[in-house]
This record gives sequence, C-alpha cells and structure tokens, in this order.
Amino acid sequence: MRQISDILLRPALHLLRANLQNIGLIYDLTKRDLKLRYLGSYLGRYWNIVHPLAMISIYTVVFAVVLEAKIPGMANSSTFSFSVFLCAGLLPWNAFTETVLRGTNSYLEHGHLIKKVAFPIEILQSISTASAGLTFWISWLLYFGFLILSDFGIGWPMILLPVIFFLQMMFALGLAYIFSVLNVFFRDIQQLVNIIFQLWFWVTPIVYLKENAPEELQFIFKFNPFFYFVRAYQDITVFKQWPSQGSWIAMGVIASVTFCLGASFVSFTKREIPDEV
Amino acid sequence: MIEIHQLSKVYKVYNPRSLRIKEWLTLGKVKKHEEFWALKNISLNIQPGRVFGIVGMNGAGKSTLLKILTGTSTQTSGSFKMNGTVSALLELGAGFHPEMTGEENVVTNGRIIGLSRDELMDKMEEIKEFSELGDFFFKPVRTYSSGMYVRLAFSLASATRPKILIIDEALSVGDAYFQQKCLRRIQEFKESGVTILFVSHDAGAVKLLCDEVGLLDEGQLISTGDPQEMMELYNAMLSKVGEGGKEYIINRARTTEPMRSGNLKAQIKKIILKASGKGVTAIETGSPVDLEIHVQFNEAIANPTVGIMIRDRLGYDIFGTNTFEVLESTGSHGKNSQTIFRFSFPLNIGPGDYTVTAAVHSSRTHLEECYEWADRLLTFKVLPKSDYHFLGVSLIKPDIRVEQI
Repeated sequence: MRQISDILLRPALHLLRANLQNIGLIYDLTKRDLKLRYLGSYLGRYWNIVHPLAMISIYTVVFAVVLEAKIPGMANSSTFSFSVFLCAGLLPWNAFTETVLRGTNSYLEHGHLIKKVAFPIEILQSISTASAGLTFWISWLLYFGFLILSDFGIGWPMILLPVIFFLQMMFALGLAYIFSVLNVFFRDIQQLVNIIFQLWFWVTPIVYLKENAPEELQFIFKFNPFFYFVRAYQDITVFKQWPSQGSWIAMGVIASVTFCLGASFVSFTKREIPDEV
Repeated sequence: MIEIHQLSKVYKVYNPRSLRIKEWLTLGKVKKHEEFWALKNISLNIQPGRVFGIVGMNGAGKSTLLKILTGTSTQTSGSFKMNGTVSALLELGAGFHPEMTGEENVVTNGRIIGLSRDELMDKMEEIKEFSELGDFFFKPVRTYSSGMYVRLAFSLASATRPKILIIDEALSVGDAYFQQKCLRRIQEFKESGVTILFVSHDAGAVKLLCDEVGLLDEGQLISTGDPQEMMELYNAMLSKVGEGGKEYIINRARTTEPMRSGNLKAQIKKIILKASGKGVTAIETGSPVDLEIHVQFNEAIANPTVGIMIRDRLGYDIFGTNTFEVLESTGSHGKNSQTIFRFSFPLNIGPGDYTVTAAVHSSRTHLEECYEWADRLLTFKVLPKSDYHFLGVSLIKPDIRVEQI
C-alpha cells in the first residue's frame, strides 16, 4: 500500500502542486501558444472555428448524405440530427487527440528552453492541454448555441458536461505525460501515437452509433477507454439522459489511474530529461 | 556566495539507443550504458562580490557546470549552495519566437526566466531603452539582425540585479559598441557586490573582469589562480592539444618566470630589444627598434614560424605578428643550429609598461605544432615623447587643419 502511494500518489500530488504554483506562467504560455498558432494567417483565431466546422460538414456529408446513416431511437432522424450526434463525439475527441498528440511532443518542442533555462518542465504538457481545452469550449459554445436556436433543444443532463470534460482531460494529460517521457528517449513514439490515434478514432463510436456496429465486434467497446466518455457526451446531448453509474465509475477510474501513472513517469525521469532532449 | 562541493556529473551513454530499452525492461538490473564523466569532483568557493572566471576547451565541462548551477541539469553526486537570487546570461534569447515582437518576447521570456508580471512591467521601459532598438522593439524578432537580437536578449537578462550572476560567452556576440555596454553593465554589477561566475574564451574580458580564474580540463578543475597566469596556462594547454597532447612541458617555478610550453624541437634562447644597436629596457615612444629572437633548433626544421606579441600591463594584446604573415619562407635550419629572427619596426605604442611573448611553431598559429611558446620573456617601458603628447596605446600623429567656413 505504502509503495503504491509512493509510486503513484506522491508524484501526482507533486505535479498538481507544481502546476498550481506556476498557474500564472501556464496562463501566459498558453496565451502565447494560442497566439502563435495562427499568427500571420489572415483569419487568425477564427481558424479555431473553421476547423471543426469543416470536419463536421465533411463527416455529415459522407455519413448522413452518402451512406444515409440513421440514428436509431431518434424521432425524425435527419441529416441535421446526425450532425448534432456527430458534434457530441467529435468535439471532445478533437480536444482529446490534440492534448495527447501535442503533449507527446512537448518536451522536444520546448527542447531549446529545457536545455537552456531553469524552468518548471512539469508544466509543459499543461500548456497544450489548456490550449486544446480552450479551443474545445469555443467550439462547444457554438454547438450549444446551435442546439438552443434549433428546435433540437437541450436537457438538464447537459450540466454534467464540465465534469465529463474534466475527467477526459485528466485522462488525456496522463497519456500525454506517459508518451512525452517515452518520446524523449525513443523518438519513434510520436509516429506510433499518431497511428494509434487514427485507429482509435475508428474503433470509437463517434461517427457511427455503437448499436450499428456488428454484434461480434461489440466487445471492443468495453476495452476502449474513450468509449465511456463518448457515450456520456452523447447521453447528455443527443439523448438528453443522465449517464449510467457504470460509465461514471469507468471514467473516474480511467482518468485517475492514467493521470497518476503519467505523473510517476514524469517524476521518475525528470532529472534525465534535460540531458536527453 | 557560491559553494561547490565535490560536484560530479555522469552522463549515461546508450550506444545504440535501443540498449536503453533492455535496461528499462530489466528494471535497471542489467547495466547496458557506458558512463561519461562530464565533471569530476569539482570543489570551489567563490566569496561574495568576487568575479570568478572559468576557462577551458570545448568539452571541458564548462557548460555542464553552468547548467547544473542554473538548474537546467542535475548533478550525479556532490552538492552546491548559492546564497541569494541567481540570474543567468546563458544562450541569450533561447526562448525567443521569431514571429512575436520584441516586446511580446520580453514578456513571455521574462516570465519563463522567473520574473513576475509586475517586475516586468516596471522594467519594460528600461529594457527597451537599454536595447536601443527603437521602433524595432515593436516589430517581430525575425526582422532583427543578429546584433539586435542579442541586444534585446541581454537587456532582458540583465534587467534585474541579482545576488549571483552566471555568464556564459554572452559577450562574444554583437557589435563592439554593445559589447562594451554589456561589459559596463557587468562591471556595474561587480561594483555593487554581485558575485559573478564568468565563462568565456575571450582572454581580454576574462582579464578585465575576473578576480580569479579556474581552469577546467576533462571535467576537472586543474588549477585556480590569478587571471593572467591562468590564461597563460590555458594558452599552453591549447598548444598541447595542437600537438596531439604528448610532449607537454610547463615550466612554472615562480609566477614571474616566463611560462613556457611546447615540444622543444626548437627553443627560444634569448630575446633582446635593441635601439640603435644597443639593448634597452626603456625607450621613447616612436623610436625605431629591433626585437631579436634567438632560436636554437634541436631538430632540423624547414620554414618555422616565429611570432611575437606585445601586451600591456593588464595583459591586453597590443600588437602581434609572425614571420608567416610577413615572409614567404624563413629557410631551413639544421639540427643544433642557432638563428636570430630580427623584427624591426618603429615602436608606435603609447607610454607604459609592456611585455613581450614569443613563440616558434610550425605554421600560421601555435595550435598545430608548437615548438615553444614563452610568455613574458621580456618587459620594457615606453617613455613619453618630449615633443608630442597623446593618450592611449597607439602612436598616431594626425594632420590637423583648421578651416573657417
């Protein structure tokens, strides 16, 4: 028991403390990160909205129009309701992948800083997390407005969104910790993670419904940690229902275990990282 | 104050990199890495308000030491203590982003090096002023010349007055004007009692700023002492490397004794400063002189280079040249022969005390094969001219015309 707390809990607490202590710095660096992303482009920050819009339009056309996908259990299922369904899963997924993929590269991306400046390197992953989170809230706000203005409407379960998103980002940050550390020592990780996420996207019911997948493949979802999150998002938006107790437990366990594991990766390699980037 | 106690740093080298996986998979039970000692048992005490210089060749461990002291890397064993705020002038502008303006870069980088937002706002005007960037301060850094870049970086890095300042080669960039400005600021720090650790290849800056110098070689602090003396030792080490490191002699009985190094295939036997045929130790500025260097060849050598360097009392190079720069060839010299190399020139240097250093080596510089390098072989005094007074070390006599417009 004692050992578990030393290996998993203490690093996690340390990391939380380091992040809280440097919250001002994280804020400034996130601001810079967001600013730099589209600096020099004509549309600037509006790309944050154009990107998800384009993605949603493409998937809607392909699935709802070309493949005529339907959402079972939904009255007057239409192209419109399909895009409502799509957004519920796709927007969080985008935040998730962005956090993990950019996080994986965070040590190398800031290598010049890590090597030259005494700097709390534990906060690097938080920067990409914060900037992905912010992008998510902007697009979700649009989505939200869209739901209210259309006759689709929203239900009470929507108030759980921040909790689900928080757990998801904790999960994402944990993965970012693990991959970023590995990536410093084995640079192939970045490529590997890219491929894993391509695959992961398609084995998660984001652009299709779980119920539409073949019976013999249903078992995959159980082992897909992100499935519980997507389901929860779809519950609170599309189906306007409270997520089941089971999925809360799953999300809670996945988020906290991954975060703690990631934290211990970071704390056990912290001394070596500046020498290796 | 800086106290360093038995500091060592070992890098683990995995060759090939995949060996690391094997070590990880066995949870470190099987050791697959080789060790590289970047620093070995460094112990050092720097008193408050002192300026300590560190010199050494590439790979001697200078940067590793500074990285550990500034906290970007951690030591393997040993400890160090620093009292008070530390600020570092290493790799100026490391975090600058080319697309952001000077001002924006100052803000984010200031935050990264640990300044608070209020401190930054207080100092902003001063930073802008010191950098002398004018309107460029508000333009993207990518439009800067490299000199402007360094100016901005130095202005930011030196904006606050720390208790301890760590400087790494920061001054070797930028134009002469700004270099002097940087040096002045560092000197101001020094005068106000800041403890400074200074790493540089610039002998002039080291001699100007440092109270004490440590010589680092292959991770070990091999000697500490007076700046002049240490720079000579360092110079001697450089020539050792040029020869492949074997026959390396340093003759240093007393510090007043000239420092000699080299493989002694040829030796400087005597050096004489002559004016109108007679040896002198003091002479009026502008007089024609002959500087004679008597070289004995212990082996047959064809076309050796003989060089001289005149230094002022602070050890600054005043003038130096060698036969390679002036003559096509210096001829062949048989074993056990003696030759006089006579440098004749008007002594156009200002009044003061000077030393002469001479060297015999195989080609243009002493870094290839150095037969002998001897520092401070001769000292002489330059006396003021009775009919023409001037300031500084160069005797220049301008034509001055006065025209009324």
